[in-house]
Amino acid sequence: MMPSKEPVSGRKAILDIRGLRVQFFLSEGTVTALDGIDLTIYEKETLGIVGETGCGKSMTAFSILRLVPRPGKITAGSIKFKGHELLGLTNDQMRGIRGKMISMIFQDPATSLDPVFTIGSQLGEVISLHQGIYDQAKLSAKVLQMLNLVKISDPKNAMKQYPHELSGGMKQRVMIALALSCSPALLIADEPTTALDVTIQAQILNLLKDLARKTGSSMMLITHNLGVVAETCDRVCIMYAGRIVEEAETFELFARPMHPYTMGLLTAFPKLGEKKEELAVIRGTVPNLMIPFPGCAFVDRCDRATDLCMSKKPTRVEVSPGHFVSCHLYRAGGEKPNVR
Amino acid sequence: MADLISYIIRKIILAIPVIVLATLIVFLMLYLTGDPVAQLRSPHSSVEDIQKIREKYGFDQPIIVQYGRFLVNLLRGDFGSSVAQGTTGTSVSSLIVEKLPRTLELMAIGLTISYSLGIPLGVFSALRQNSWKDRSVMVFTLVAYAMPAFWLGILLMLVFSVYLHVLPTEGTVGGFKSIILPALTLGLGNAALTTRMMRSSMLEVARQDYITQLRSRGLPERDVIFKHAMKNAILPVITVIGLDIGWFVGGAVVVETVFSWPGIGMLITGSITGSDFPTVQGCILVLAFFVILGNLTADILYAFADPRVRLG
Amino acid sequence: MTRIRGRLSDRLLSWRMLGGARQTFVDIFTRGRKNGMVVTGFTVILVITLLAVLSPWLPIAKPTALSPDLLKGPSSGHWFGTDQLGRDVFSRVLWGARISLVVATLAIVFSLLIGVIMGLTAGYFGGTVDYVIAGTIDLFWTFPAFLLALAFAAALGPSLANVIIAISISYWAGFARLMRGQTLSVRERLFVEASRALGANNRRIMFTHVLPNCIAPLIVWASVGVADAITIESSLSFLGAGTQPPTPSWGYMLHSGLDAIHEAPWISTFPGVVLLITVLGFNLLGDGLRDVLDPRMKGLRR
Repeated sequence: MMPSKEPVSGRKAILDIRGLRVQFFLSEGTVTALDGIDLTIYEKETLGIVGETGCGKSMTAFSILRLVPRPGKITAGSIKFKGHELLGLTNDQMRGIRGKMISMIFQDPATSLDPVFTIGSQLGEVISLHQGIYDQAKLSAKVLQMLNLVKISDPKNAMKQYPHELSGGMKQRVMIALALSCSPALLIADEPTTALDVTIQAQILNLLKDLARKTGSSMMLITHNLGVVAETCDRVCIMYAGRIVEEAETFELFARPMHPYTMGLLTAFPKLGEKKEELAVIRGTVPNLMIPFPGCAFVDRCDRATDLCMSKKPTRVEVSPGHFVSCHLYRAGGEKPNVR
Repeated sequence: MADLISYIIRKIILAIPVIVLATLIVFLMLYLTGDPVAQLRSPHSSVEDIQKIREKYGFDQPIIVQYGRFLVNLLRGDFGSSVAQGTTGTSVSSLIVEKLPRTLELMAIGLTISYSLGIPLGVFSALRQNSWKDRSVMVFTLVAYAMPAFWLGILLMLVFSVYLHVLPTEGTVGGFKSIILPALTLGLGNAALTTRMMRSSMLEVARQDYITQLRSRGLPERDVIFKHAMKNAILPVITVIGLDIGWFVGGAVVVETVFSWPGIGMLITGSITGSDFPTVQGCILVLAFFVILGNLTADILYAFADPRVRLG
Repeated sequence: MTRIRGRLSDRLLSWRMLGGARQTFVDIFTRGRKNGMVVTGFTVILVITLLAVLSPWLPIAKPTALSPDLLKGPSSGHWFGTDQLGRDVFSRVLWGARISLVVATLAIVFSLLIGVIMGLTAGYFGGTVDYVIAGTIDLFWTFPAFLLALAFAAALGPSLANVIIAISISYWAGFARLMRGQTLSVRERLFVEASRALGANNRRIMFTHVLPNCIAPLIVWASVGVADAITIESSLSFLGAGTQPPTPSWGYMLHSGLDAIHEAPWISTFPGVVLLITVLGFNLLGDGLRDVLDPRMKGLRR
């Protein structure tokens, strides 16, 4: 079910990331988790971020909220939210943004809720903080309203319950309620369905999509599952080893993948009804991010690598309108001829 | 609420066999050195006295019966009679009742000092992890924790009594001045432990996902730390309160002896040196009871604090 | 065919057991050497132990030798001064070290044995046996070891041997908990693991898998245990329920020094300081080893 889209141009950018670099300073060495990320999210769209574990997807999300855990630091780049530079704000100013204008849903709902406070009190805390509502009755009403919105059965009872008394799916609904309680402009969902049962995954995804549309929020959906991307996202970014290697509208990406990694991902993903003897794999493993390398990060696993790929880092080029790739095989406008 | 009440009732019921087991062990202690009568009689009893003791406790009867009588006596409040030099014939229970309040007040103040010092210090240390302030707190707690209670008491006595002449050496003077040193001795030792526990617990909690989640909701750092993190971090400390109380009871015995504080501790020590076994037995039983009671209270307190445990 | 298989798997398993334990000791030597706490603790213990062992041959007064210099402060003749009977405090402190170290080490060794046996038995048999033993472990665990030791020492009568017995009976619960936990988890894994298919003996698998994994926490626990045992022994002697005079134990010295605290504070102070240093040494060693042997502690920040 591919969403048909009008062209992207003409819409305002909610989030604009340029050259973001995040590094971790350990006693064994320095790990470059994000190596110059360029990313844009427009109003009212859902952008998918796809990649293997450890490629930097979550770190991108944390950077936007400036919650990069120590010993990590944002060492370069700019993050503009609605035109304002986030990296220059004070902590107090960031707090005004977190939960209110940009909010985040974490991966594992079981560990994302404070276990010693009830659902109602945690929701009430966020609502009263950002919306200034302190009257108990009004607060409870709003909490109930939110719980109804995320379709929790028997919300009155749920309010008084503790996180451990809820199922995984219900906990994730609460997380969604928490994130959307103040109608943020940008919602970041970090693998929101990975920790859930397959049967619940579809429900939660649909809920997310519906609510995001209702509140007019843009969504940054992080996942490693291409099926989720196909269902939910307007545009997709493919990440590898801390870099974005390809970016395009969903349909375009699936129809005309350009980067060898993207192609590998698509072939590796088994399709329903297809007969296969073996699952296709991309050979090799993710590089060690502690060792800096000058060329393309994918060079060891790429079937079409050249000498240039070993020595020079590829730049981002627009191969066709709205479709960007970082690969030496391409130049602006199309594939390079005679690349061997 | 209902699950909380059923949890409390369950815990109380579970404590009863423990108390019974304690009485059994104390009862069997009598037989450890072979002739139980030797323990129970005073050094200068006559043959008739010995015979009376034999009859009273029924030593010619099977052990089960003796144990039964022992239990019955306990329930009636009869802990036997002292055989110590100055107090031969006095009922042990009256001795205990006389001395118990002093020990309890000592323990109460010690507990207060311990937690009101230990918890804030632990949080303080955790928030400044690896700074020189944190490291000095760690060193200080290590030393205070390693120091045996009686040695700390003697040290404090040296400093405040002998050299500064500020406080009295003996606890019999009365009033605030005499209780402060022994209570401080008790409290500081356990404060060190509490600080370390609280610190490591805070550090553990700070790594949890929900803490980052709370920050991502825009909560002020003050709320994240003092409302959420602390409430979670204090749970392991509460779990240990039971063990702490046990430590306090043991520590009280020693500290009382150092400062001649007229409580159960002094009573036990005097009875041991004076071979007054019935008193020793009675005291041990009372102390054991308080340890068990302390554990029970700690368990119940924990259930109030951590909602996850009530389902159990 | 099965017989040859059986023997091969036995060999493999015992090799693995040694391997697991060997790794622990390798870790202790390589990483322990770099850990400040381990080095400090170990040095302290080494110095005190050497002094204690060599004390009969050192050129100092005998600990029970009376002299006319009563209650004299520290001087060149008597480094730590003399006590009420003119005895040299320095030599008494050194001899006291012998007592404390011997009592504590023996007590912990016995504790360990009792604890390991109880824990293994509980874990291996499971069911009612486990239920009963686990209950007993809980009881002894929540009860303060010092009070238990006091009770037993009081009942048995004050003497060195009785103190060792008393502490052994009181301290085993910690070791038992460790062993029981480990045995139970290995037992659970066994029902899933394929090693059963090798045909190797169930009991052999249990021991070869359980014990090597436990060596690390047992060593840590034992080190802290010796510190605790020294504290308990000296507390008991302080109260008069442990070693009796004229045996020069630290606890007794602190007690007798208490009476003379105003006139001759050195009688209590010096044994106290040495006692503190020794206990600290064992605690540091234990804490340091815990850091070294705990796999979670790697990769710390700058």
